[in-house]
Amino acid sequence: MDKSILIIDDESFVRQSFADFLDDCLWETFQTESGEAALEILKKTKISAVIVDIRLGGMVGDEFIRKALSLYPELVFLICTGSPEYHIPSDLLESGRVSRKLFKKPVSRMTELDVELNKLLGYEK
Amino acid sequence: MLQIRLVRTIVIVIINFILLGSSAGADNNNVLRVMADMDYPPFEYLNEQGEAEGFNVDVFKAVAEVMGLEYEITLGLWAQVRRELEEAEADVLLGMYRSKERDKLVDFSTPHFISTYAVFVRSRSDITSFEDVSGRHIGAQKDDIGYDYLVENGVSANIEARMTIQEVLEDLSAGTTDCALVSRLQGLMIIKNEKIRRIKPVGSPIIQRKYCFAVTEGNGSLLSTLNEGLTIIKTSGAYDEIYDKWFGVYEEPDFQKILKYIIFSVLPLLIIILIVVLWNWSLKKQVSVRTAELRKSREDYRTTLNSIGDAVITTDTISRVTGLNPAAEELTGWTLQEADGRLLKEIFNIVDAKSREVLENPVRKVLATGDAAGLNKNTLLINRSGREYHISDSAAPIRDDDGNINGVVFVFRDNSEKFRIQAALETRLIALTEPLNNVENIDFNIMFDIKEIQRLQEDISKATGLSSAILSPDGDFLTKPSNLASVCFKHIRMTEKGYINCFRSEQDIISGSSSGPYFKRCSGAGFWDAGVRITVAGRHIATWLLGQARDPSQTEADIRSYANQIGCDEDALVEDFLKLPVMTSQQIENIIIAIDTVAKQLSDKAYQNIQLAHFIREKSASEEEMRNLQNYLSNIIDSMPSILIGINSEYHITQWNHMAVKESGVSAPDARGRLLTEVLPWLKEDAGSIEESIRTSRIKRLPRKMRYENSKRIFENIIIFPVDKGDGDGAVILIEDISSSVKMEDVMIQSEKMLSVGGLAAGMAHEINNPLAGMIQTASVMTNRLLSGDEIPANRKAAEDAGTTTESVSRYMELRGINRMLDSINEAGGRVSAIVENMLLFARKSETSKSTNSITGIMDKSIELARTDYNLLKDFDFRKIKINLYYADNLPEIICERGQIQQVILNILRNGAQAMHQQKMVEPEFNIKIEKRKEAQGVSIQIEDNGPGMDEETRRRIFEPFFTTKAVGTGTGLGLSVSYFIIADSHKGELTVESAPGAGARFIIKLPSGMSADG
Repeated sequence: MDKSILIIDDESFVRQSFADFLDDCLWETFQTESGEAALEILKKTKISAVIVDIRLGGMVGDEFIRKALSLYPELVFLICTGSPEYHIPSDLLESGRVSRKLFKKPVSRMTELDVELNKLLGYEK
Repeated sequence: MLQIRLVRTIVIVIINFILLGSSAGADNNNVLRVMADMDYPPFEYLNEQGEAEGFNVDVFKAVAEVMGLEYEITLGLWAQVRRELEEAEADVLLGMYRSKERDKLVDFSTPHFISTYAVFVRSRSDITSFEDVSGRHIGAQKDDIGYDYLVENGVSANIEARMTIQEVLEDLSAGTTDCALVSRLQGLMIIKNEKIRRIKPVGSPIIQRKYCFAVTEGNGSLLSTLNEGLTIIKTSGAYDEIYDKWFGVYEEPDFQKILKYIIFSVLPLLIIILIVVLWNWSLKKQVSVRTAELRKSREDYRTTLNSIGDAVITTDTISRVTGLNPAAEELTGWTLQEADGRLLKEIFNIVDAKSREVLENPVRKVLATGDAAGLNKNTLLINRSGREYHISDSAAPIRDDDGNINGVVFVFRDNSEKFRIQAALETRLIALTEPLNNVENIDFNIMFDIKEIQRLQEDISKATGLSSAILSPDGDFLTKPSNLASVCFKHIRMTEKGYINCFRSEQDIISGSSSGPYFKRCSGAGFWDAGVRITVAGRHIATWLLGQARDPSQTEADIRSYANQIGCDEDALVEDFLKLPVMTSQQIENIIIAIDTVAKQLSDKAYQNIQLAHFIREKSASEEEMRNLQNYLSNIIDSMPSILIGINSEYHITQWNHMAVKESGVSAPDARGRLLTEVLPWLKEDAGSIEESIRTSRIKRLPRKMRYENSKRIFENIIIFPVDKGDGDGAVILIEDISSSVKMEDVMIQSEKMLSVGGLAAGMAHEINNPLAGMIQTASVMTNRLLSGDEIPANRKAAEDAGTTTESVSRYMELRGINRMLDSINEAGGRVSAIVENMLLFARKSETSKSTNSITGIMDKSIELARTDYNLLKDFDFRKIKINLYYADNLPEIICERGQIQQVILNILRNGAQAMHQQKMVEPEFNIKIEKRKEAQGVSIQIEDNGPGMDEETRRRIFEPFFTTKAVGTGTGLGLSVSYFIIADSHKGELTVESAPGAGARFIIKLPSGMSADG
């Protein structure tokens, strides 16, 4: 059971709070602030899941997911955004590797993140 | 004429009957009471002198003379006289046809006349005797013996019966029938009198009727006396004379035929031939006598006709002219000779003066009705040479002595002069009331009453002996010349040279009088000529010409030489010359100066009158205009949707329009005269402004004013217009109710404000969410790490590394209140999160799922939720509030998002409940009413509380985000804002509130059905 996760968010407090929480949940966490940097990390590192913010400095979250989806067939994605009007594009949902549950910041019940990630990776108990 | 005669006849008859009554009573001497028909010419009739006349009368007179009878002849209506005889009130009737029936009632003498019938034919007919008529088209008089004869003998199936003999003969003349069987003598008379052409009797006489004297039944002695007398006069030749006198004239044209008849029929009686020859000789003599008499009578008639001024035309019954008097000849341009026998319309061409349509002459009408007929008043006669005359005329039937119509008489006269005067008068009347633009439009006819001027002119002519006329500047005669001197008009002007001289002279006078009264000797005969110019406001409108007087120095020799010069009869000229008045130049001058003075006076007065008339007209016109304007204004004022009040300087109401009545409930008559602030007390606070406006004469617009009326907010604009009416100051106050536009404005502002908040919220949410996430999520991790103990392996390891245990850390945390602090962070963070979440509702487009819902179901559910709402229960027992529900029947279902609408209702209920709770209302209640909306087929939900209400400021801002009156911390201040967005934005409805302090609040939710295509 490989539990390695990459967190992409341009807000360091947020990124860190996710990483801290997932650390405690025994995930191996990696962090980056942009989609471009994330793709570089994915090239070198074996990652099983990605938490993606949508509004990022460079490429937007959706774009990153589309690229990563094609490059890494095992990789799953979970979107967490602060934008009230965001909806997950249907092509992403259809891939089956993007969580249907959209997390909105602030995430008040963080444990749900862990539950959803396990669900996505088929690690459910 | 005819009418006069008829009237006279009747008068005489009446008189005779009165006399008859008295004479009958005094009938003890041997005076025979002789009676006859008053209207049966030529046998017996009443003549124009009121005397009995006719063949019968003459025969009886002759008999009476030879027999020495004393008698008294009385004429009467036939039926009357016959009854008199039958009742023995009369002794003799002069004429009666013998019949078996009549013989039983009266006794008849030997006949004094034998009436025979004859066949009448057109001149070229193939019918020559009664034998030829069989099977032909025969005319006869209805119920006449001739008619009976034809029927009894079965002569023809084709009999044309007519009422009168004349009609029978006219039919024949017109070719309608082939022949006619009528009384020979009467037929001949009618042909002669009525000028029926180309008709003659043929063959031998047929049917004989014996015409006799009739005496009372059994009076044999009188009968024998009369018979004896008849024999005597027949023998003596007296009878023949009488016969010729009355009938000879009719027989004359047929003399040859009678002769032929006599020769061939009665050939053997040579003696009789001789008698006949002799008879004819005397007959001829009688004819000439009778002809002369007729001529004389005709002369008399003609003289009468000629002497009357009116034109007279007579026609027969088929509209052919039979007579024309000289006046008619002059007007029509036809002589009697030319016109005789022509159709009336040829010589009497009449048209309507206005339309110029040809008018039908009334012959037909007169014949049809038998009554006199007047013509159209606007009849214009166009004569043979194209001249036109305005005529007034009438037509009447001409009746013969039997009362049959045998023609029509037209009497008409030239009314052109009357029309001209009338037209001038009309023009004058019209002109007098027309606007006076300038003096150019004035002409003489307008200035003066032509009739009056004509009289003045004639009076002056009479007084001075001068002839006189008034001419227009164009030289037309405005008046009829008066006192024309025959020397000029009968002689001088009739010659070419004389006329030219006269004309020139007149022109000289017209132009010469331009600088004042002017006179000179005329350039022709050297008579005095003078002119006075009539001017109005400096404009020449007429010239008054005077003249035709001679200077004392003019001699007979002078005029003789002038007569030679122009070529007219010297003696005649001298004769008329001597009739001229003689005047010196001084006299002439005096006269024309006097006339000039009179004319000036007249002109001035007339002009003043015209101006006065115009002034009056203009004044009345402007008064009328003013009235119209007043009506118009008061209509406008009344139809204004605003209150308009007029006040005087004492603030008393003078004007009170319809809207003022409607709004105040005070009628206009009640309001007038009362103090403004007494009728509308709420204007008291504006009294100062009104006073100021009147004092400074400045229009004053008061700031928008709000007042409550029956807890409804009314916004008004008040404008004060100071009025200086001349008779004291005052003001007009315009009060415009702008409540609805204010309300509309409110809604607009609200909605705009809200939308801008929505846009703001969306941007803000993201910015807040991120740091908030950092805070909340970090606190969450902190809690985990500090309080989860050994559950997290990293915790234990860290505790060990720090030389402690997770239990010790937990204990420390508890002792120092760190748990509570973390809870505070979480809770506060949660509230921020909730605010942002709510704010995001503004930005969220309604992509939520809507469904068909029953609005009452939503309401019931909302109330249920409110009752169990934890937040409410915490402060207030919602169940204490009385809720009155009014649901209308048949409410439509609406498409909406059920949860959102519930949230709105809940928000409103919560808001109201809290307000009522704060105010500590003893009997708090909600009145909830749901009704159908007319617009958009939706519903209207009213939620009314009896809480403290709100002031205007609160009411206006109640839907603003974060606006709250509640104590800080009790609410987010977003409940109503969100509600507003749900209704206005997501559901395209309206959310409004009505409230006033102390009057509770009423929230009104209006929702469309959402069923429309774009919904």
